[in-house]
Amino acid sequence: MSVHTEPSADSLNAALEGLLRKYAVEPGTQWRLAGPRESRGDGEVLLVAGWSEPDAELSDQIVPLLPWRSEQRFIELRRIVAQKTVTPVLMGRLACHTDGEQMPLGAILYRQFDLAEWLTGSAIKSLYASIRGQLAANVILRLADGAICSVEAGVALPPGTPVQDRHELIAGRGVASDRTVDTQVAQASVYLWDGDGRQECTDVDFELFGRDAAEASLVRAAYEALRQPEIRPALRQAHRRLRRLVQLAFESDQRGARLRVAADSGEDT
Amino acid sequence: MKPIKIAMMSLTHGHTRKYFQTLRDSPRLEWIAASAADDVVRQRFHRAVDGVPCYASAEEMLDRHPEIEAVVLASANSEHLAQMKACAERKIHILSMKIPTFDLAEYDEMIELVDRAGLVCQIELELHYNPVVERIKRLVADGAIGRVVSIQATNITLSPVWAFPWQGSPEQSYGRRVPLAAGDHRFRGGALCDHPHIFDLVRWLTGSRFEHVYAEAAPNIRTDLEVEDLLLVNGKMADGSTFLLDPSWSRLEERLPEPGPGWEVFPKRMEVNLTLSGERGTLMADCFGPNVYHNGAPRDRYVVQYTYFDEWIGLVDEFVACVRDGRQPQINLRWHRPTIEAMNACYESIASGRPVQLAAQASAE
Repeated sequence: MSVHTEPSADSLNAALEGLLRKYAVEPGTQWRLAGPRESRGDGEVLLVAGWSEPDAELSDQIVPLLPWRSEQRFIELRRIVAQKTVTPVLMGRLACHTDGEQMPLGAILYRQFDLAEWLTGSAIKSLYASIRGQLAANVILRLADGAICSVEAGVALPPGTPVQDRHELIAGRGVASDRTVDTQVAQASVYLWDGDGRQECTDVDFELFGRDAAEASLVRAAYEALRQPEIRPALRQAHRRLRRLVQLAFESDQRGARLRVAADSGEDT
Repeated sequence: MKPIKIAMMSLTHGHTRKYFQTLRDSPRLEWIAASAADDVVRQRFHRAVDGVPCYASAEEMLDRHPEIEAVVLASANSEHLAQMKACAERKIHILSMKIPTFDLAEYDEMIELVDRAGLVCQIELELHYNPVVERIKRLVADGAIGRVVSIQATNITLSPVWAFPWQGSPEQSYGRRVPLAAGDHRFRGGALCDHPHIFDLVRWLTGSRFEHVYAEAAPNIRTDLEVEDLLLVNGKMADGSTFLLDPSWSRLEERLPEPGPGWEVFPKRMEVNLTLSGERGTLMADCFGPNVYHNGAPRDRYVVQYTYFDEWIGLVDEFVACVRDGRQPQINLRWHRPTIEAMNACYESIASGRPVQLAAQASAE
């Protein structure tokens, strides 16, 4: 429930439009928040989830979003690190399992590699990946500040199952996590038992009420990309780097070797 | 079945207190005696246990009690070979702690000693007698998730070195002083040496052997330790399945000389969690949860109070049955050898920065 990655594009566009109107943001161009498999027309800015774009190089028309950076749990984890509430981070443990339809293996790695760097504020320096086909990947990252980080990825959840993920940062002082101690999966805000059985929901955004965390964060990320067009080159740069990191992970598995990440990997020259 | 007359040696292992309860409570065991590694340990024993004699040396205990049939080697890893020799000479069966030795020449000597003397030597990998693990084994065997393609497992705890100092000593834990890597001030013998269980479970659940391992150590949380406390391991099994293991001491502790209330800084002091991805599904399990919680005495911190399953009942049941029936336990020295090899390979990988291949085992599994 916490990461639903393929919401209705029409409803998300309506939600985004509502935010733009409320805050009087004028994008100055035609725009559309597009789903992974939607056709693209000319003459409009397409806002897409970065993980869904297989190509590293994107036209100026396409803005690859990193929606998790707008998700409140990750914003808070990042803040905990940045403010040295837990410090120094020595090891990260990042896990994400999907049904393979919502996010295939490469998409999970894309997301988790970005989170490893963004949450810790430290770039990936090297990686060693152990991958089984397109089914599962286990990666050990070394970050520039000396910390290590595991990335666990799997796509064996039954179709339609909400993404199951966990992010933990272990520091010399303290541990930060988006999961409660002594639990394995996300807890919900509301549980309802009625004639339809058990239902649960976690509402995180009053302005975007009714959207789950992933939908809300996608809309928020798109809103920021329209409100601040100057951040779009940085998003494209991050996308290129993340695509390169995912490619390196598969290369690492094939070569059976730890691969170093060039400092300028995927960056603009 | 006639109870086995049993004793404990050294009393310095982290599971010693668990054995106090087990040896007292099990109707299948008659606790004859104990020997302590030193006077402090002996005094501690007398505070905890009544009515069981405790000797200053293993030799004295064995000389005074020729009726002893079996011994729990609750000692530092570096003591195990000498203690096994003493047992073999007297035809005493052995319940060994989870690391017999990391020295494979010594390990083979142990196998030979045990074989020649016709002894039962069971390795204490108690998770095999954990009901959650039993459920996982059955689900996997029944094909609930199809063929296993990936396993992620944690065996993360606080560091026991303040109560059991040998676990922070490279010589006593790993057997010798081997630098973790060139230019690294730390030595082998830390968290990895404390956590063989998940290596064992990966073998058990896949039915395969380690093909290669890759490991990296993080900077230590406890900067004053001379052994590693944070590391990650990944690699592949011979059947192509991939794994990721976290055998770290990543939960901080108060530096108590004896384990007890107030030990935890992080609320949950020990976790063994597994995630298995199969071709048809995913299985997640917490081998020690859920539990109960409090924030009371002595430090008013939020703490996980374990509602332990008692793995030691099944473990002792098997040990006693093997001794009485003259058969070998599932987790014996030969079964466990590839796990020790894989753990050594992790250290080699940390030192070299490369994956380490493991040869196909000739030994019976």
